Amino acid sequence: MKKLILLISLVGVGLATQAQITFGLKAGLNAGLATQKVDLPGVENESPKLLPSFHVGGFLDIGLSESFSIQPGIQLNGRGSRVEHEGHHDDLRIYSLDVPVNFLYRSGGFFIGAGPSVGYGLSAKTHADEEEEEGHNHDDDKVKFGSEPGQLKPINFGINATTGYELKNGLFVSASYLADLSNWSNIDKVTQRYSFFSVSLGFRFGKKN
Amino acid sequence: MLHNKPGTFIFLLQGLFVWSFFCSCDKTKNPKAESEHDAITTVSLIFSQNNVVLDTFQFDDPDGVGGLPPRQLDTLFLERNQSYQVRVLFANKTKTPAVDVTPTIVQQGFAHEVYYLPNNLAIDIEKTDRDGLGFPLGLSSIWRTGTNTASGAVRVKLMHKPSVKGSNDSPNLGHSDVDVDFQTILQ
Repeated sequence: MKKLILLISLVGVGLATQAQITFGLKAGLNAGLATQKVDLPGVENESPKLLPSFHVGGFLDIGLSESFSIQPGIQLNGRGSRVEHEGHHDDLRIYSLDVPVNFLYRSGGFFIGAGPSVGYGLSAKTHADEEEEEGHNHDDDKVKFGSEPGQLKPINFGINATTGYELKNGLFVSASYLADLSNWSNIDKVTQRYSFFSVSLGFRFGKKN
Repeated sequence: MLHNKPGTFIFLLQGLFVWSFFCSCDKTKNPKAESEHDAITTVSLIFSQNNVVLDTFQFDDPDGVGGLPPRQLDTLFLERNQSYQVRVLFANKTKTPAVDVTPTIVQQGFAHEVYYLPNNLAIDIEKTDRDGLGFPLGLSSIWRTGTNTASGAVRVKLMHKPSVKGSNDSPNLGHSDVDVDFQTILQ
């Protein structure tokens, strides 16, 4: 065990001394692409509509070479589902804190990468874009996280893919897709996945030209 | 950029990325919406005892929400100290002939639930049916009336709550497809 810790420390120190470590901030728009399926006879499952939302976050960029880097980040993401129903939208709006770790390849300002992502559900609520009924109590819109039916599982995981273009001064635009591989439902015959596309504008600080 | 082959390769991959996004959006154009059903203009409460229908009370707004006021909103007259089997039916009268929406609500039971909320009345209401996932549905119920005369109202709500329906939800979770107050007299 001590040898393993020593080895990891040596690799870490080696990376820290050789690698160029920079950090960045980014924010932008999300388009939630949910999968909601109920495995019951006679039920025709549909794909929900795109749910617009936002994200904001930061990341470290650990350069392994001129072209490759590892980019762990932390990001607040809005995601969820939008279902058309009787002339209005019924939304499920979820906010999660996600930790993606992307392995990036860079060339001539362009970059592309992918990696795993783990997230934790912070809040969720239902919302209809229609006039609210009298005496409507917003506390009742909240959807709880937990292990009971009707609640959402708080931990999610997925695969993140990202690509974009970075200027020499560190300003970048990127597009990402988080493919949600978890099932947020606690009910056996129900599958709920909340993947999303993102478009971001960001800045990477401390970049050596 | 043309001289930068890896950069060009990434650029092509980015194009693929954007294309895959629009391809996934196409999937959302499925016209067979599992969550869609006809508008509900008419709510009928059918009261029975020992499987014999005693009375039917109705809310009827044939032109739907807005427009003309409801054509019919019955007052429920119930006996004290009784137990009633109650069924609720939903219909759309904006179409000719009228459409019975109830079977669709049964099929979409995993995303719907009927609530009965007595106000100023001693009525114990127990839902007796379940949706396909085993959660309360509320199209069938038993109403047990109290021992005293009273007048109040029973609010009938059909809630739509896709993906978040559980076994003991708040009557306000989701969005109401139907929300009607039936004035009620216990006599």
